[in-house]
Amino acid sequence: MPLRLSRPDKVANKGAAFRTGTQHRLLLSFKDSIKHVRHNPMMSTQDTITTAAAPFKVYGHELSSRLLLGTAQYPSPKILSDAVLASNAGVITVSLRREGARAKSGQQFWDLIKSLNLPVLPNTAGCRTPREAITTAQMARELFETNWIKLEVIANDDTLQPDLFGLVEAAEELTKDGFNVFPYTTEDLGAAERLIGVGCDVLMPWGAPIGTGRGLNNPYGLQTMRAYFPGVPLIIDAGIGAPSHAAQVMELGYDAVLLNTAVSKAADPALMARAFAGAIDAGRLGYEAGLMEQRDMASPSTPVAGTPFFNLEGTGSKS
Amino acid sequence: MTAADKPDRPTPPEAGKIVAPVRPMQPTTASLSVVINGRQVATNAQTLAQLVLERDLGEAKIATALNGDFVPAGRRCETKLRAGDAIEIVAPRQGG
Repeated sequence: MPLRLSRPDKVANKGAAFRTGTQHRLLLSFKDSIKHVRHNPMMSTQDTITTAAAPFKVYGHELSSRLLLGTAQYPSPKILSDAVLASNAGVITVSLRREGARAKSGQQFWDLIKSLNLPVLPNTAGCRTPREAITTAQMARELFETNWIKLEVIANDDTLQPDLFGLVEAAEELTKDGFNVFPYTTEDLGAAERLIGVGCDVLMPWGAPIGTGRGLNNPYGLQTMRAYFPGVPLIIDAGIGAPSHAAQVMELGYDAVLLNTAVSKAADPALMARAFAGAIDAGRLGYEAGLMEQRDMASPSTPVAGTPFFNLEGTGSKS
Repeated sequence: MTAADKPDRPTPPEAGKIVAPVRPMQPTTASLSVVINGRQVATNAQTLAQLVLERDLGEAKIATALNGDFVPAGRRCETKLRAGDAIEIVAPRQGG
């Protein structure tokens, strides 16, 4: 498969990073998308969120929201369900682990997942080699009945950073085997091109190491990545700690956010899930609306002409 | 609670289970030593499907791998076990 994107001219366009074909299409569909009204059973009728943020597609599947939510580390299954509902998540992520003899904990979790009625994205968390990741993906495909896989090949236990070499190798094998690979990667453009080259239609760079909640470690690198791959769905996966981080991701023009710990470890996960839903909508709308350019110096917003006591000699009014 | 579980009755051997040999000198069922989910286990199962049943996971939502390779549910019956095999049996879990 040829590399699709190696186009510095896209970066050089005026308006820089954010004026892309994708955005143009999104703006055109704005009138349609404003009709989207979400209803969340966690909220009263008055609280119903009206969102204008346009939907987006991954591997031909239109997601119902720009949040992908993890299912781990919640205080209870009930709180997990409440948080998923409150988040309006379009996808939930899951995993697989060893099952003890006679244990049926996997079945209970599977029943809970089915009751949430959302697309499921299984991960290969903890895999250290392409072979482990490939076998895990194949087991996940059978268990969860989906060919989607959030591909993690971990290089280092302290940072949980992806092994980009192993990632590309596993992504290639899995794509040949019919998987739709969602690679957990970094903002490295070379690795990103390789991933796209072996068949990944979406990239999931980290914001910060998994579980740190530090937000975007390298906003410049992520902004460059967005500009370099204007037509590729980009999802920030990992490192998001606060709703403001998620809003920042969306303002950068990223397509979606994948997070877990920030919600599951909140004092009130369902309420935090709702906060993220609002932040993601706000950030996306801000991006679609087009952010103003930053300046180094102050610039008055109130018209200067006609300012009372203004003195052309520049000394101001003095009595 | 079934009748067999009641303490005032003698407990019969569980149906379908192979009883441990009384005379250890006489070889009976070939018992294999395999590694299941990282633990050394002796089993009387000869195939992966029998192993799953032996662990009472016949109806469970699980997936399997043998020596690092995925074994689809439909191929467990024909997948023979050998001494030292490493088997993974996994189920859905929460994940990020």
